[in-house]
Amino acid sequence: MSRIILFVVASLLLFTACKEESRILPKYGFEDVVDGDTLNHKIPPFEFINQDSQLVSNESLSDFIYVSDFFFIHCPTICPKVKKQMLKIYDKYEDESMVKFVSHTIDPKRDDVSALKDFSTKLGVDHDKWYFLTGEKDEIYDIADDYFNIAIEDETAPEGFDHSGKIILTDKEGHIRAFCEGTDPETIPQFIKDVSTLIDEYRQTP
Amino acid sequence: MYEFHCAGCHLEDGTGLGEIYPPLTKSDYVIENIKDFACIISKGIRGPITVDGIEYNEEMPGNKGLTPVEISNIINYMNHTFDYGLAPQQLHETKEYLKRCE
Repeated sequence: MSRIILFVVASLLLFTACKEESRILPKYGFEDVVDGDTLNHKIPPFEFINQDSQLVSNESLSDFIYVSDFFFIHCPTICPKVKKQMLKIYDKYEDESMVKFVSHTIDPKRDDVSALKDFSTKLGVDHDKWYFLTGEKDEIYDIADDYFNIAIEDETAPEGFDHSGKIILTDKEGHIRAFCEGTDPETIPQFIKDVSTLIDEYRQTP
Repeated sequence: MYEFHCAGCHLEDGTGLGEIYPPLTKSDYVIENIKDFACIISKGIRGPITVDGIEYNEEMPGNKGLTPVEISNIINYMNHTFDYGLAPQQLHETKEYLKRCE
C-alpha cells in the first residue's frame, strides 16, 4: 500500500515539475477576431515623457519586456507600498538588460518632469532602466484602462485620486503576460518568477 | 492606529521609502527627537531632517483630530514594535510635549 502511495506522490511531483518547466504565461484580456485571425489584447500605441524629458513610446519599448504601475507622488495611501514592491522586483532585475520599469503618474498636473526626476532620484534608481512617465491626463487614464488598472480623479479620495495598485508585466509585443497586487507582498514572488519565465521564453526563441 | 495613520508612507515594517519617506525603525533621529514626535504626528513636519546620515525633505502632513491618547498610543506602538528601547511615554508627557506646538 505504502508503495502505491509513494508511486502516486512521485508521479504527482514529476507531473508538477514538468508543468512548471513548460509553463507558458497567458496573454490576458479579451480576444478580438479580425479577418478570421484571433488577436490578443494589446497595449495600444502610446507616447509619454519621462523624468529626463525623453519620449518613451511603445516603439522605444519594443525590444524590452517591462514592469509597470500607476501612482502619484502625493499619494498618501497605497503608492509607497506598491513602490516598495516595485523596488523589490527592480532589485532582482537591475542587471537584466531585457527588463525595463515604467511608472505612470495619474496626477500629471503636479507630477511634472522635474517632480518625477526628483522622485526617481530619491528612490535611487537608474533613469535609463526605470521610466517615470507623465503626459496628457486623458491618455494616461485611457492607458490605465488597457492595463486593467483603475485611475479616477475623485475629490473624496485621499489627495484627490483613486486608483488600484496592480503591477503589470508586458511583453515585447505589448501583451499583458502577468500581474500582481502591489499592495500584497505575498503575490510578489510568483510575479518575479513570471518575469523570469518570460525572459526565458524570449531567450529560447530569439 | 499606526497602520491607518502612518504605514501608508512609512510602511508597516517602518522601513520608509528610498530618500523620500524616512524610516521609523530605530535610528539616531528617532532616539534624539522622540519628544518632538507628538508634535510631528499632530502637526506634520516640513524642511530637511537627517536620519542616519540621509537627508529627507518631503513635507509630511499633520494628522488633525488625533487625541493625545491616540498620539501617545502610536508613539508607544512604534517604541515597542521597532524596539527603540525607550521607556513608554506617559499620557501627561505626551500632553506636555504637545504644548510645544499648540
